[in-house]
Amino acid sequence: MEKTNFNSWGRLSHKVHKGYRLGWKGEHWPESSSYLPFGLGRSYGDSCLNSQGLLLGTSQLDHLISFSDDTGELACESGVSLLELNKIFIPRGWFIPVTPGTQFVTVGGAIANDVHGKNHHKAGTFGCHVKAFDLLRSGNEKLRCSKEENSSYYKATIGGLGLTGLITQATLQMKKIKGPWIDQEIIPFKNLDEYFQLAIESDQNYEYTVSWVDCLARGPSLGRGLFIRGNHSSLASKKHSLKQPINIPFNFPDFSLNSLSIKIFNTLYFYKTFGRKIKNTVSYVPFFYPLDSLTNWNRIYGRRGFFQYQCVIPMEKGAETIRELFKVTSHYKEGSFLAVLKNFGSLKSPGIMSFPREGMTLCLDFPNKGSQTKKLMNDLDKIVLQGGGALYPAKDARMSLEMFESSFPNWREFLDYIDPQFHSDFWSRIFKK
Amino acid sequence: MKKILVFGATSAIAQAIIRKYAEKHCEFLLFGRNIEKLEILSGDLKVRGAKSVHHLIVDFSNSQSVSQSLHNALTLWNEWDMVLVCHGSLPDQEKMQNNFQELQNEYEVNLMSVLQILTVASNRLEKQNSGHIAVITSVAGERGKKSNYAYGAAKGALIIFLQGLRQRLQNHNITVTDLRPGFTDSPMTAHLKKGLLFSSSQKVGELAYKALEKKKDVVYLPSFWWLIMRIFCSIPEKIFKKLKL
Ligand SMILES: Cc1cc2nc3c(=O)[nH]c(=O)nc-3n(C[C@H](O)[C@H](O)[C@H](O)COP(=O)(O)OP(=O)(O)OC[C@H]3O[C@@H](n4cnc5c(N)ncnc54)[C@H](O)[C@@H]3O)c2cc1C
Ligand SMILES: NC(=O)c1ccc[n+]([C@@H]2O[C@H](COP(=O)([O-])OP(=O)(O)OC[C@H]3O[C@@H](n4cnc5c(N)ncnc54)[C@H](OP(=O)(O)O)[C@@H]3O)[C@@H](O)[C@H]2O)c1
Repeated sequence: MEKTNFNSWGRLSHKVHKGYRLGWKGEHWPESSSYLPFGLGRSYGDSCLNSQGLLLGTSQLDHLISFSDDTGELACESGVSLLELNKIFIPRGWFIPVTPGTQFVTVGGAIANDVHGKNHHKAGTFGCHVKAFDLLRSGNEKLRCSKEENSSYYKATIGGLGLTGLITQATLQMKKIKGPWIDQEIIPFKNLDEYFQLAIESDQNYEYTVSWVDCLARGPSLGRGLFIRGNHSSLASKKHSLKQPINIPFNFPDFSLNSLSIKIFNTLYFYKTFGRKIKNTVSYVPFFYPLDSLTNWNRIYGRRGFFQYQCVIPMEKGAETIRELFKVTSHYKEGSFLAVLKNFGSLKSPGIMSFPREGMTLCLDFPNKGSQTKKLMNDLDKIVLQGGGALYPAKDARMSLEMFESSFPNWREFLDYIDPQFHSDFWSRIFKK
Repeated sequence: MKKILVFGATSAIAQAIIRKYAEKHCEFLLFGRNIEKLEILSGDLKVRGAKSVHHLIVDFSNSQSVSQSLHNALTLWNEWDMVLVCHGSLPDQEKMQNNFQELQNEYEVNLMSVLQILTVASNRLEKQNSGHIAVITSVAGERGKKSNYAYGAAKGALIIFLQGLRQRLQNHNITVTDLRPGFTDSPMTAHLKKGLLFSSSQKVGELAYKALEKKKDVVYLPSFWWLIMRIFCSIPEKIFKKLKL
């Protein structure tokens, strides 16, 4: 049995998480009372952890199977990372159809959380581009899943939080691009109203949109921030090279992220553009993955770890609810380091447990300060519930059963597809098992 | 495009090395004992850019099987650019102490099969007056210790064999590289607790690739092992024998 200690990105769990790294699809799993697949642990809370059983590490299940340069159809094992796919396929003119804000994510993890990216309004979720996958269940039953075959397992596994079995390999539809460059624009906005306006305008003509908000700004500046939008550039000739990321090798002391340092950071971030609009052409790396230049950046939150909080609010109540959420956060002294705001589009995912749905999504993070942080998030929950919104399990370490049920109205149907031997800490927390 | 023979191609470190060569559109002849794994790996290398990939089944604990596969390799390719020897096995030291048969078997895999490969390969390359031989040894081959001296001694023999071979072949335009990893996180060490000194097999593979491209003679993977081993080897035997290692 492998003794490597696995953990999730929020570093909130101090339990021992036993894991076994699979190297090959057909490999026998060691005996255990329960299993859960584990990709690269980029989920923040406990949805990728299973302290009662065994984690099946997939990072070495990383073989490519086939690729067609005519159609862009790629088959690969589930542990292949998006980093690897970008390195190999961007130079050949193909890009992953949807990408989250980090490249350190496996294909299996991207399916199980049905991740979204800056192009949700145009392309939907990752799951929308997964043509098929193989699901290996604990009884050694292997199911080929697609819209046509075992379609109920297909729909339950996309966004299925790793609970329906191990995805061993998947077929994805890649997207043709001209090169590694993005024509981007960064536009400062002074408040939320300006954001709402910009989002509606930009989502028409820009494939990628997202915005960063300073959540400590109050009053008339409530919700000030930077709107970032871009399209693939036709620039192809310029030489593109990849930089080595800088590693943060140890935990920062717990005081390093106090409210003052966050305020300074947020203000700097806002004035980065000196209030002017910026228009330039940048590599895909800083555009999609600004945080990847610091490996293990989660360590700056110290030993106690941190929480993320991501919700989506349906459009009708979006503006007022988001405003309310910012009001509450801006009064909380231990503010958020990163606040990300984006509008999701109407394209529906095949996944019955998928988080993204049409509306406005807001993502906040908070250093773990114990009960006061939890209280704040409970207050946010009430606002989200009132707005008819949902929370994202990939970022969650504390949502209640009530929140879960209202976020995922299909959860009862989902129960039928859970593998009897698969289990996660997230699941036992929600259902108090 | 280079023609590369890879013995123990399914090893985690080997995979990481040859993926780099696949990007350079090299041609591969893979040797291993498990057909499913070899097929998966062949597919992977092809998608990554390999010009061609063949594979041959071999059991390194059986010299007949090794000799058969070498014979097949000679008929398949008459020009060899690189011979990469990566297979190995980390046996349970205590088991070796009580069972000579087991010990002998381990030496077949870790030592004898490699010597068999090197004998054929060195003559092949000598005839061509070109080529590159690389073998994965181990820092464990530099000094014997209670916990794994059976394994260490086999690797130590390889280190010395390679030194002589390097001298013999250097006038023939042939490079002999001793790739010497320290603790590496791979299936071989799956049962061990991973301390700070462990490196990932990806990292070790990438460093090995760079060293091969530079035609290095001996390379520690990663390089900090050079320093550790200098200290480790300078402890006087009188003290060393009492250490719990
Ligand atoms: C900096 C940063 C930015 C992020 N940005 C975004 C973003 O923009 N959008 C977004 O949606 N998410 C985002 N995330 C979250 C991240 O994309 C998801 O948590 C993703 O699922 C992590 O993938 P992973 O490979 O690390 O999987 P893990 O976190 O290890 O596991 C995630 C889930 O997938 C399951 N799983 C993993 N592999 C398999 C498999 N082979 N078969 C079946 N189930 C499997 C696990 O059991 C678990 O339930 C971000 C995370 C970070 C750290
Ligand atoms: N891991 C470390 O800490 C470490 C440190 C120093 C040196 N090394 C050396 O590095 C090399 C690669 O090891 P690794 O770490 O990558 O481990 P690994 O993934 O376990 O590789 C071992 C390889 O040897 C093959 N093998 C073993 N016995 C065989 C036999 N009888 N017949 C055919 N093939 C056999 C295995 O084949 P299967 O895939 O079919 O099992 C596998 O390909 C080895 O020489 C090892 O001694 C490792």
